[in-house]
Amino acid sequence: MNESELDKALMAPLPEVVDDGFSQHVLVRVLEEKARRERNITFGVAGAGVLLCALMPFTRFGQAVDHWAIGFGNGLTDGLTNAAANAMSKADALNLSSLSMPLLITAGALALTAVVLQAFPARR
Amino acid sequence: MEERALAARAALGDAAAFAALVRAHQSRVRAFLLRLSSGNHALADDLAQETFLEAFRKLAQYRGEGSFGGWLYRIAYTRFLMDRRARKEIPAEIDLEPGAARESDDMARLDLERAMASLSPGERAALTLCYALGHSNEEAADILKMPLGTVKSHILRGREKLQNLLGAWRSDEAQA
Repeated sequence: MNESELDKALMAPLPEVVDDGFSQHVLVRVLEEKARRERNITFGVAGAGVLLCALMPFTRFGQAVDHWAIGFGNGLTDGLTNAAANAMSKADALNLSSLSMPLLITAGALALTAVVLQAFPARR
Repeated sequence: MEERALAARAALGDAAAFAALVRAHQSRVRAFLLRLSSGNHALADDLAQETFLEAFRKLAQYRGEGSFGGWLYRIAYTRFLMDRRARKEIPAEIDLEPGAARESDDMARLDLERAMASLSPGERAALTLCYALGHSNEEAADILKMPLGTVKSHILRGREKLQNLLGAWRSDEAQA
């Protein structure tokens, strides 16, 4: 076979492959994947909301510890009281109970997002 | 509608735009994979499906640089290589013996496909992209993620092998 014959054979366009439902099948799989992705996002957001709600009791526990520490501090000697008061002011600065409201708001926002995502699936 | 616009709409989740892209490219992508897989229709179609699904997942990464078809061929070739690595071998459906008669263009094409099956995947892909699909050597290098020199040597070596193989088959036939 000479070069020009080979060139001619190689340059012949690839044979046409008939679309025997291939595109439709691909589209069905694409839509399934899209739905699965949206479901995963919804469950992820809802799960994060539930997790935050589950953390609420722990912040309440933090608040109880805080109150106990204040009472304990009041009962100590003057010197110790001063030291304890110092510690209390630091504890107040890190007051775990103050986290309750932001956590509650975040959890609520996540739950609302999950509901909206479920009701109006985003176009991704 | 222009392909880039369709791709942009599909990236936003427009299934109809993506369907239009699949319809426009399915024939060439499947034919390209059919040649890479040495005529294994089932494997070529499976890989083509995976190619389009991966394209849908990665649509946001398509920046419109280069043709959409070229981008698809790159995904298809990567998929093919991954599958080949997983299987260790590609079952060839085409009989590698030369055809008994060459009465039509179809027979000549079949002989070319048979001879193609004896080339390495890189040689097959480079020859197909540069000859049958009309890409330049540079575009083929970009699609196949190979240095330009490698693409050129794949083409030279592939052509040489094809010429020897098809020439030998012809002389066998002439003697018979």
